[in-house]
Amino acid sequence: MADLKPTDWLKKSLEGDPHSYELFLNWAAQFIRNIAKKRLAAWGLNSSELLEDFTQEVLLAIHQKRHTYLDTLPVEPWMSGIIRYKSIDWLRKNINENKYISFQDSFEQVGPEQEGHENSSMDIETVLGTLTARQREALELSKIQGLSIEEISKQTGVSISAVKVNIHRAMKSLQKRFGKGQE
Amino acid sequence: MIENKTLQLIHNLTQQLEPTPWYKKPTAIFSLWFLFIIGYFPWLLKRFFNISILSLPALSFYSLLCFSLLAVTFIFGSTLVLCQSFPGRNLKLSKWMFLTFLAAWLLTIILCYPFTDASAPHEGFAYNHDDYGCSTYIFLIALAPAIALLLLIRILAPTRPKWLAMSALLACSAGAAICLEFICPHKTIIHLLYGHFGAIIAFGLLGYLAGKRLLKW
Repeated sequence: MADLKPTDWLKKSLEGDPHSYELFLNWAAQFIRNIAKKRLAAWGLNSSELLEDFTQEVLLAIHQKRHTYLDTLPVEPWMSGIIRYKSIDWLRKNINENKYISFQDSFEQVGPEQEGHENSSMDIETVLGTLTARQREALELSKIQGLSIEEISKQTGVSISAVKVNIHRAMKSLQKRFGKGQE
Repeated sequence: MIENKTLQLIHNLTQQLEPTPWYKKPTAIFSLWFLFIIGYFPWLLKRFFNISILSLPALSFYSLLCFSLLAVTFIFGSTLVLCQSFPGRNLKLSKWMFLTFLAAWLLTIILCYPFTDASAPHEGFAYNHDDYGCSTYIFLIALAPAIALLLLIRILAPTRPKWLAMSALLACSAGAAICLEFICPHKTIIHLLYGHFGAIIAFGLLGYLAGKRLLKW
């Protein structure tokens, strides 16, 4: 059994072999963790609890949709497809539930300007001008004026969770626009 | 502690393992779909329009060309949608190919119009109706295959729900438009653009908008 590959384990699992299935799921859990670690880090979500939560979510999805694996193809692209789909779903759900948004972490991802970066001479007005009005307001109040989330919420009349989401999205938007060289 | 929960989950999932039921196997999914469409359209034409598949009314070259393009759109589109519902399948090129047949049909409608006798409805087409009549027919005829196809896709694992739902509904409404080639007596360009092509696009857009909800898993 040791010389078999994950593809073989999954094939045997589809025939109903529980031992192969256990081996496959253990391998799959590690595979998911490896991919998810990078994805979660890119979203500013760096905690082992979140990583395991996501891993479990994907394992459940794999269990539910294991019949969609075509045994003529390698297993990795199939799993990557499920991970990609579930990661978007998982992130959206957690943003909606206001659970795991660590805007401090995502702010750090933008990082200092790099030497020779084409936008290094860009002033803050230009940078903030690329955001939506709500994102810009939330970012200015939190990062430039140094207000707390509660204070911003009171001042703008927007809920605490919406403020957090606006800051997070602003950071992601800035990172996407100006932070490509850092990946 | 946290990893223990994952191990526990793996253990539980292993306990729940059962061999894949027959209707979830890819071959069964494809067979069910093709059996459905082989049975549905002939039955529909016979039941509601009294047209037998064995003695179809003669089609002009123009109608025959439209029929062929729509048939390819329907068969190729629906097959592609099912193939794309297996995670990890990356059919980048062929993903859009069936839409080119739909575009070819649009071009046929526009370019071949001057060569058709638009003012004289073909004999044997007994069902007279306005533009909205055709749209309604397309919607009603496409409804059953659309539901069947979406249900089959849901059994699989659609990872691009919006695109897949849109493609599924475009393909099914193209299938419905095939029936209209036998039913509809009007061949004017405006009627074909609004009543036939417009209805297909509208149905496809509906799929795009509702795709996320329809195909969530």
